[in-house]
Amino acid sequence: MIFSSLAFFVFIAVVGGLFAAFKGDRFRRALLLGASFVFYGWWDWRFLLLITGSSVWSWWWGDRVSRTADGPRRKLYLWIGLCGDLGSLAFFKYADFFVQSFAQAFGIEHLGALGITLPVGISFFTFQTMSYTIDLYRGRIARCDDLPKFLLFVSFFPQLVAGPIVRASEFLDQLDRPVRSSAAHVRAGAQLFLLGFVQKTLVADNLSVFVDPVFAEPALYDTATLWLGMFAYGGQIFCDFAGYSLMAIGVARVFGFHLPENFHTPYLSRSITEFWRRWHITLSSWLRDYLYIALGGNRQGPVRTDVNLLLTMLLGGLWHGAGWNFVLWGGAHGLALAVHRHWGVHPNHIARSSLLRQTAGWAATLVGVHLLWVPFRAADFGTTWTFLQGLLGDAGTVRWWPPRTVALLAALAGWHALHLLRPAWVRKLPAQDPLAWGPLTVLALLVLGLLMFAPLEASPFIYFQF
Amino acid sequence: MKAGRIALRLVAVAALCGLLGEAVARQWLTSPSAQMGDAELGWTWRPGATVANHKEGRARLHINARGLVDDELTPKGDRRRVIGLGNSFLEALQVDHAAQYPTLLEAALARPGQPGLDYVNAGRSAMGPPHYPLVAARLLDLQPDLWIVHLGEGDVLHLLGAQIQGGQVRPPPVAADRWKARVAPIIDRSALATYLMRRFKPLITRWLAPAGPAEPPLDDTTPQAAEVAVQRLTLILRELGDTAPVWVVHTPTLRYGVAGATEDLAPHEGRIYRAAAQAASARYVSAGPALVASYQRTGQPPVGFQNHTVGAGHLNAQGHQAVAEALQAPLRAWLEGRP
Repeated sequence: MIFSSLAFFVFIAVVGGLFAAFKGDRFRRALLLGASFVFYGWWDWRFLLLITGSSVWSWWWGDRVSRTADGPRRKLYLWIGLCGDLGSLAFFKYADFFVQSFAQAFGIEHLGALGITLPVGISFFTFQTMSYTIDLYRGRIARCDDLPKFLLFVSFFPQLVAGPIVRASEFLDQLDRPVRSSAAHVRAGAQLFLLGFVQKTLVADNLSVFVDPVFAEPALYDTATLWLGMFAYGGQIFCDFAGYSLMAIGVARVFGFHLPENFHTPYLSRSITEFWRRWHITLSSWLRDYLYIALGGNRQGPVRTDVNLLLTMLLGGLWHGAGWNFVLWGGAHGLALAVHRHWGVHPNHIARSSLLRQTAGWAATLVGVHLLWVPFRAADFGTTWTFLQGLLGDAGTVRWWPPRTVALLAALAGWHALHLLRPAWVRKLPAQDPLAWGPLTVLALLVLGLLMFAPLEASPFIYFQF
Repeated sequence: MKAGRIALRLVAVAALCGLLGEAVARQWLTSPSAQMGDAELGWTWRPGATVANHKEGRARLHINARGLVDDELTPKGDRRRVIGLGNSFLEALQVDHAAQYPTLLEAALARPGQPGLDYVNAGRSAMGPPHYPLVAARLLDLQPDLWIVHLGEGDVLHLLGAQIQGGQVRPPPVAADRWKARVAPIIDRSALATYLMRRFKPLITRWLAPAGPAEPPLDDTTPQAAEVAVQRLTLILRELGDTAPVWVVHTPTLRYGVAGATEDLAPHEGRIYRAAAQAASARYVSAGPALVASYQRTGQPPVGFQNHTVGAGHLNAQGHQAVAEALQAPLRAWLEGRP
């Protein structure tokens, strides 16, 4: 079920109506759990077994970990739990990739694809269950004795299929409190949802109309078109994913839950390190806390720190998709982070550097991040190479600069500039009465924009495939 | 806040947004509807209307007193008159009148002291060959010296879906449209309403009357389909030929690839049109070589628009130039009475 589809609006109306009609905490938790299963099963009910099995597995081994004081045995239980999580992820997401890569490397022609269906959101809920087991092992959270509550933490429908990646420490506490929603929650949630909906349908889906053909055959287009295509994809993936995250946060807020922020105007970053503090924040912090630090972080000397960074980002790239392009993308980001660690200004200190340096850092980061979106989006290495060559001048002849794409990118730039300047009226807008002139006009204009320009067929979110 | 004040505010904001939407629609999307129902042809243009299209290309076009996308017709005099019959490729709502190939041909073939050519553009979106005898019958008073039938993508499907009535090929009956009559007072005045109506109508129709299992699409590539299409097109061309000579101009659907390479995506269509033209003793002209040459010369596809899709869709100004080039020599020879 896609947030921008009619089916979802009917679904949320029914769930919201039942939530409002019945006040009991137990009923509301059961309602949200049932709704989450309906939401996930809508796509393919058979995979309800997978998410339930995965949750029960992690809950059970987490329970073992938390009840065991003995160090080696505790560690063994942790690894058994993690192996189960990683095993299902490896099977469903990477088995085909590894088999195909093996067959290609050794020239085995008869080894075909296994044809395994990738369960939607498996990368997200697996990371959530892993964080629970690891945090229990580290003693950072208390055990969750209530299995249905744990199931709701893993399958909570607003963030189930594409994040934000919520940790047990951020969510289980909220389930222990009374499940309450207020008019303020509903208003704030609806505003966030609408903003995300506009980002997704008005901006991302409209940009894809230009991006898809350009990335499908980059050799056809001239250099200027390819540069526009590259920046348009940057805008599309940001609005698609940040839009989804906002919608998820908004839906959760309507039911009285707080999900963590996932994007913080990443294209305003002045370094690659800052970018990763602002882009897909819940993933980058997850990778930092559960992978980079586990590998030793920066505690074992500069060389090992660089290797840890590279490894973390390589695996982060592979998390996005089972393909060598994602490995290349992650590896390049890891390399850039390592290089910046040695020569750049630390993000905590950059505000004190000169404006010229900040501007140069911003421009270099913006272009660098977008250049790396090319392998992320392109179908394969060949297409990536053709696209990058074209950006440098070895390009085709066809010029295509759709005015709508240019206008959307300009609007996106303006939106970022607004965030940078944060005038008083923008800051006040969310807190105002929605029936006041300002918010009402903005709301009406957004609705008009959706009516006039949003594609009518709901298209899936890019991050669903991860 | 009192309910009355809230209602007033809502109405004011809605009115403001409506006005803004109307301005945006007129500037960047379309004009108010200028269409009216016709029992035989379906939707036709209202004579004297002005039609603006900004969604695919940008053009503002005048509908003449005969309901055609053309200048007002003047007495034929000594001129030779060609009437072009075709679909949206000939109607060409995407480019200005001066850039359409009938206009380009009139200019190119004009000679000082000679009567010249009057090329009447009778193209209409969504029509196909079975409609053309009906259109032609309404234009006979213009005394055409030549019919030029413009054929392209999808016309074979029109032929396969046609009906045979008394040995003549005719389009299926026009379906009644209850919507249009109800909303006409609004959409005839508002570009925003027209745009929203066109946008949401398929969705609403689908909700109100969900389609059953989809019928498999007609396969127009089989030998049997080709045989039927050739027979029907031949009948149509012969029927037209009873009143004036007939030519067939074919605009093939090409894929414009890397480094000037092109590929005909529907070669079967060209074979069908050529065979029917031959059977009906009509001249066959393909615009394909001119379109390919144009692409290879400029590096830009002759179809598609910056504000829509480049390399697919209707002819752009360059494409109209190419079709005009393809027709120029044969028409000059015809004007001069050469074979």
